[in-house]
Amino acid sequence: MRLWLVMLPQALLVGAMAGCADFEHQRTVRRAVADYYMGAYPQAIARLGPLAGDPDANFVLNNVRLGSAALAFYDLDEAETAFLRAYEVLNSFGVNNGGRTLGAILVSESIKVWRGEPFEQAMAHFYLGLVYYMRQDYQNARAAFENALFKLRDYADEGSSNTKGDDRYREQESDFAVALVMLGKCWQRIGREDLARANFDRARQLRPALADLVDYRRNLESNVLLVVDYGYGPQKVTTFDGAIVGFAPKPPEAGPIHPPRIRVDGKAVDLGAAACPPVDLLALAQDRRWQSIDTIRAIKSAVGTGLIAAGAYQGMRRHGDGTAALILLGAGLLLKATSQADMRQWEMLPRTTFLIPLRVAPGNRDIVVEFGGHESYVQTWRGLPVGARGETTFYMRMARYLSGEYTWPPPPVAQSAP
Amino acid sequence: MPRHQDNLAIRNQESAISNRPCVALCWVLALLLAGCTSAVQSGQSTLLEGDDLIRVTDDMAAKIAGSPDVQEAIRRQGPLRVVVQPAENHMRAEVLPTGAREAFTARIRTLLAKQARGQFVWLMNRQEFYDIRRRELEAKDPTLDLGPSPDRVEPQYMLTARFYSMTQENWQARSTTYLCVFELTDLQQRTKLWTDKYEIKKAAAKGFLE
Repeated sequence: MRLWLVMLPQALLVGAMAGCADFEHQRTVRRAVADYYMGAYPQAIARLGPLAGDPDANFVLNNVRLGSAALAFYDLDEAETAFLRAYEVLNSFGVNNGGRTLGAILVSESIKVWRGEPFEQAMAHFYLGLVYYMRQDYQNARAAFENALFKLRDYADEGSSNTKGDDRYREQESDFAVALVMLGKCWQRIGREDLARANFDRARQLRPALADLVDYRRNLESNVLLVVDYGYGPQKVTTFDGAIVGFAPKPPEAGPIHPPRIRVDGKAVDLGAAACPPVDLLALAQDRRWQSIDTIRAIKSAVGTGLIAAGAYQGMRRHGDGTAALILLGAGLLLKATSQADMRQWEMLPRTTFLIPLRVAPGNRDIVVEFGGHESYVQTWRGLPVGARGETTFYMRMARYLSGEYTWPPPPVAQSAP
Repeated sequence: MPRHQDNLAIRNQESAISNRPCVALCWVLALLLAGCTSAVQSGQSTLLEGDDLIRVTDDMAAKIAGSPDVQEAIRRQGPLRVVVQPAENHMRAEVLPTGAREAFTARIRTLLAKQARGQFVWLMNRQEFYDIRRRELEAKDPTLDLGPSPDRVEPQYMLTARFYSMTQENWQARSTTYLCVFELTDLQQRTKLWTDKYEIKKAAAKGFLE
């Protein structure tokens, strides 16, 4: 009994210290996310940089967060490093073997190294590919986009012979046609017309609405590619007393995605049907698969509820055993407390990523990207350098407080210019 | 046995029983702490790693140096003037960042420079040459002429590497087979003086909760 008296305060102290560190970490992340959505990218990078170097359970998550901020700031070196670090862990298996798995089952799911949902993994690979595409390193870009599609193949059940699995993969691949389009564009730039056409055809076959966007000629002639991240991605929510996790809002709740309007040097560009959103992450998040850990949490929660009820009954009985009631209540509360879902998520994700290939006269151009609808976002980019040959890619993050005027070059580009 | 010893034994037994949950908790905590390695320490992947770099380049450097065709060319022409290019990524779903791309051929250059001293003259590739000149000289004087094109140095041979892979991933595992092809090409004759390959097969199984 004496040992308990010694152990208990120590355990409480360790728990309290861990809790304080976690609270500090969460506060830094919240500030970084707020900075990101206010357009204060250097501040977000400064906050996330030290966290991203710490190989703890949030290693991948902090690196993808850092990658998002660095990409929006056009710090492509930092973005590449961050997404590559995430890529290495996302493509490793068994990172949670041993203590982390046991901890996730017994104590809290957040002990696990965060690897994200399949759509988050796919987006991490997509952004890594985008960084390479912006640098015109098309072979690495192609490999990263291909890997983005692999991450969704997880959804296919036990083998390709399984029709249900094939259908599910096809559905996922269709929802993530954005990677197929970029894969096609990479092959086109590498000079493999056959593979470029094959990927464009696959995207068209899966999503007929993308027919204009994947037009071979349009992409071949394009010398500017605008990659526009629009709106807010899915948010993790819990139901059933915090044990069951889901994503909100659903696409109908968030309303339709409005197509962008583009003006180059004041002249409107007719995008036709090419301004079709190639992905809706709100829809993709709704396909979240029920996992083993969800079952474990649900069982713990249900058993916890049962124990609390039994404890309450025992306590209220006329000749009930008070000690037994307390033990039952304590055990029930402990199970309830450890059955809470892991709420970590990549907060910077957009609702969709528009790909807009344009043919623009070479020189320095002013490009305005505008979205209508219930929330109107407008960004004006001054002096974007457009070449006569090749395709220059510009990334734009559109959200509520990010409207305004941006002048090229952003500081990291200006510093790295020869 | 005296009575006080009996009591002591009973107390010890009771104490042991009452400490059992504590010991169990300590074991669980110890297991948790021992098992919680960092996110980058544990895990198994099918990506190319530092060990692969060493194995591949050791093997290829030995094969270049030991090739009868290469030795015959050295005997005829004297030290071979070789320009080294970074590896090309033709892999299906594996990224090969700039540093790794350069490392695969740069290490062969370093190994041969040590092991086959005097048999090769190593020339910088065009990109590397201009990058260094720009960084070292242009920063001091932006109007400085960057000098003769590296083409005028006329390398005779080019060492290249091309990496291919086949990757499969499903809900249980991921497997990748790599084919790394190295070539020493005669730039004037457009013939391959030497070519060889290295194959690597890797597989990683997904664990519980992955």
